[in-house]
Amino acid sequence: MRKHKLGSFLKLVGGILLAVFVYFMLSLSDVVRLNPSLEGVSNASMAQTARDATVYENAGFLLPASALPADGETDFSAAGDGALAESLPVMEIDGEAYYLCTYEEFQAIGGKLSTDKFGDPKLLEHDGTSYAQGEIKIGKNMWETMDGWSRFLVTVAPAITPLLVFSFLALFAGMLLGTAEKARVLNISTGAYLADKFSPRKIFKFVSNNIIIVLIMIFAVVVAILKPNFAGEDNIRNLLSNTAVRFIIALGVSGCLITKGTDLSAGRVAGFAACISAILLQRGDYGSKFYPGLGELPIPVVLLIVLGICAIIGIINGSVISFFKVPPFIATLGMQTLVYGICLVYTGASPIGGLRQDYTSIATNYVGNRMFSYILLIAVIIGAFMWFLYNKTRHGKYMYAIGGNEVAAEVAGINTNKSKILIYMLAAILYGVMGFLSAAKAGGASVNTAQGYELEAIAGCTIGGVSVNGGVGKISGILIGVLVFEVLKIALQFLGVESSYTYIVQGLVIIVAVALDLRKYLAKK
Amino acid sequence: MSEYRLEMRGVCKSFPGVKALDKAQLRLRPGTVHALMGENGAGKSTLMKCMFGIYKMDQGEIFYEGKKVHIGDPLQALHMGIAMVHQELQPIPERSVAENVFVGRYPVKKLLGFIPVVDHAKMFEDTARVLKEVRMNFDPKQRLGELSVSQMQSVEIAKAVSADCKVLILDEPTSSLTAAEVEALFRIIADLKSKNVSIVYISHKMDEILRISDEVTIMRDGKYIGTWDAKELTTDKIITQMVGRELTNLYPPRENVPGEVVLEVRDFTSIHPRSFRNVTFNLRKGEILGVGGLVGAQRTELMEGLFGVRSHSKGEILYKGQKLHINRPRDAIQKSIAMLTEDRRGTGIMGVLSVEDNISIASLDHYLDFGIMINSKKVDALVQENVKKMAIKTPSGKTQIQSLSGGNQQKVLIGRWLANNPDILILDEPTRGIDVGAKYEIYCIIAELAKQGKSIIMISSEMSELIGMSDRIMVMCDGRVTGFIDGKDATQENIMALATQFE
Repeated sequence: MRKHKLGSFLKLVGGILLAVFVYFMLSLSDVVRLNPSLEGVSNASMAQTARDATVYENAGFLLPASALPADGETDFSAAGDGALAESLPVMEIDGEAYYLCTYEEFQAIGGKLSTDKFGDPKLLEHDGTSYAQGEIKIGKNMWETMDGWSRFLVTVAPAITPLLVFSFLALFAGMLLGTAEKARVLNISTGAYLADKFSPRKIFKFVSNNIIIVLIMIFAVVVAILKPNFAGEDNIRNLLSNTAVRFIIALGVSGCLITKGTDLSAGRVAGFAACISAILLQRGDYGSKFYPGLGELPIPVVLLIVLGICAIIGIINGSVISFFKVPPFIATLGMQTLVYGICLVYTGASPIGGLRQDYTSIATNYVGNRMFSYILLIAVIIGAFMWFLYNKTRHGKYMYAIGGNEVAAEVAGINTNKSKILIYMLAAILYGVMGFLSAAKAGGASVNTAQGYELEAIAGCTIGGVSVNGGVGKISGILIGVLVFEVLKIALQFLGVESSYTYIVQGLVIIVAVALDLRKYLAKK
Repeated sequence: MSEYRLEMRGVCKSFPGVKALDKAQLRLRPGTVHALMGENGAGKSTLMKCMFGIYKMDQGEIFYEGKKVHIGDPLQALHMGIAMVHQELQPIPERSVAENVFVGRYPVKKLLGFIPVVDHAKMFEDTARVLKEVRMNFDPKQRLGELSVSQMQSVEIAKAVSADCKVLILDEPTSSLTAAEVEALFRIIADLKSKNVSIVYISHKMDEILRISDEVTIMRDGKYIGTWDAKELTTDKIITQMVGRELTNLYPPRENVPGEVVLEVRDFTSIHPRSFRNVTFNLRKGEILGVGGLVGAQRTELMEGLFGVRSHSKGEILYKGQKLHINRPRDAIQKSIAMLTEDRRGTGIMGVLSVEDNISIASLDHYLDFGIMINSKKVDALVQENVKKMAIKTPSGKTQIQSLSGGNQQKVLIGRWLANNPDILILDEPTRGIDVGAKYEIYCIIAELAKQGKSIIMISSEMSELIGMSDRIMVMCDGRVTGFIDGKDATQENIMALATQFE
């Protein structure tokens, strides 16, 4: 018993520490990216390098325009002197801080005036006075310029790799102990237990049950060997953010699939949501603004409006399916076309751009490393929420029950109509979230945003083990399915396969995935 | 020429976790009715599916007319002259009788000499002839869905006959037939026998077996027990061989004492004119009310009407003097009524879901933390309690319910309803398709529940079960209640007399 506890303890601690140190490692690599002078420096000497290095920052200057000589020089590119600048008065305009000085002082510290295309100084109007803008490179100690988090990372840098190894070992030891315990309960040796677990028969069974995933992963490894950039940070970041948005839409569709339904309106609803979000969050100064008179709406309000509209679409889908018994395939196919039509009429088919910066920053902001974009975090939170919903609530159990046997569910006292309406409503809300995020990510939206995503979502779900026979499907499976499908697409891109051909491959994968899924149930007969 | 038309030797077949057949055998003489008997799960249907090419044998040989053959799929079996009428019919209700008979082998003629089209005239003509042969006279052009279940079965038999079969497998053919229809079926069997067809007859009904079969093969746990001449056998002897033990106590003693009336049903009438009508009865606390009648007496429909699965046009239900409005099963469940439906697979279990989910699905409200989160420990406790109390045989609570035997599935479903602590339990054929041992366990559970003061309505088509378990028997015929009999006075004869009181 004690051994058992130690095993789970080690597994837990090892797992958490591993996650934490991987996060540290990736965050550190981001610090290095932002501070180029740290590149190529070993982890051990990183903190010292940071303390010694000097970085040059551009400081903004304003000179009263009246004091400029008629045809004075604009470039005095001598090295700036930080110390000299410190003593100058500072003025803030639109959140930017500028040093104020005279032309002579500017000349003395060797700055550079900003010029327009005619070579004349650029002017800035403020409080009735006209200023010329200029900038000077000021050298600063790197350590001084870093924030606390970066300083911390740089300081602990030497310890990260050893700790990473240590926590991995702890995790591994925990797993071994856990295995030993399981073997002990079964009264066999640990070796025999492992031999059974990894017997050729079981491996063969696992591989044949997950053949598509295994094949795509092998393919990905081959591509990664041929094109090392495939496993590079930039590509992984791209992969993660693409997966994140598709995961959200796939989570929505999964509920419909588990109840033996489907939702073909997913992509179009997401596109409609993207258009509404973009329209309501355009910059005030954008030339072709959709509603020129519209003020700045708070982002949460816009999100609520979008999700509300999507929820109504979902309720209509669910009601048509529940009360009129229209097959989900037909009902949502109709809704797909209908929503597309509404979107065309509403936007006039013109693309919507000029989004507010605070909106697009949802897509560009990140935590730690650029891999961990806000979008990814939102997807993770939604995934956790859906896991809770599917596994820990009545709604989830009812959903699986309806998929398992709808008549029996009704007889067991489940309000199947209500459940189905809720499922389709939640699905549409998730498409709304996805549309909202994808407009922020793309910096704009059009009627064709997210077109066809429902098929990718269905493919991801099916590859991930959501059965079209109903009643079966796990969140983890959906995540793997969507990820693997995305890996396939990106791997094909990397090999330089033309996108027209990738459609052919994608279509084949979808058909094969469903065929294999159904074969599993046939074999059981 | 061999003395047997068909012989199966040393047949083994395994499914994941179960050895369904272990060196089973069968020897079929020409022109005889060969009964195949055994408890559910003894491997009768599996053996037949191996013969018919639906399953592939792991081991074993089949000899047909003395020659060793390999049967890879049903089509091959049909070509050899083996036909099977399945336990669960697989008709195409939207198409005509004729199309159902000739499905897959439509007669074809050449239009303009080269375009092959279905020869409808010939098909209808042939169907009419075959139907006459099995003494059924319905229109070959009639839509199959308009026929009753027994008529559909006749069509299935007609299909087998039309294929000119030498071996006909009948898997529980009488389970949904009325007495008159059974007689008609027996006449068909006798006809076929005189035409030298060998018939494999699978059934649980001893009287039928003893009446029509020539030889009886008994199986137990996938093994061959023996083959006897039917004349040598008696019901007791068959049961002894099937279960491998003497059955001393077929029904448990009951200690329940019926108390005050809890449920009153008055003038309850279906929206369909030919279904249940003007039904009036009451039910006491701690009483087991048996509901007897022939198939088609609308017993299931009546109970489903009370439970809100079907609609009613008039009548009222009073529960402890208070009027109930039941339009959906939910309404009935909230009023402490539970119903175990007849079609376990169709309306009972959720096959791909776990035992745990199946047992807890109707009572999830009881296991919530913070009003939203399901407490898995409470659910687990429920599963463990039921597994222990009812001796449910399952590897774990996470096992898919469809991999359990019928009896264990039924226990899980009873557990599902008991979790809601209902006052009234409607059990529709609670022991159908369940083997003898598990049947007894279910009787014990029913007796125990009645003793605890729960009121039980039990629909059963097995006379002895009805007589052995009921305090009172309500008999229905053709949608009406034709009478009540006290459990102590009930005999097969007086029940049958009420059940056949057609207007």
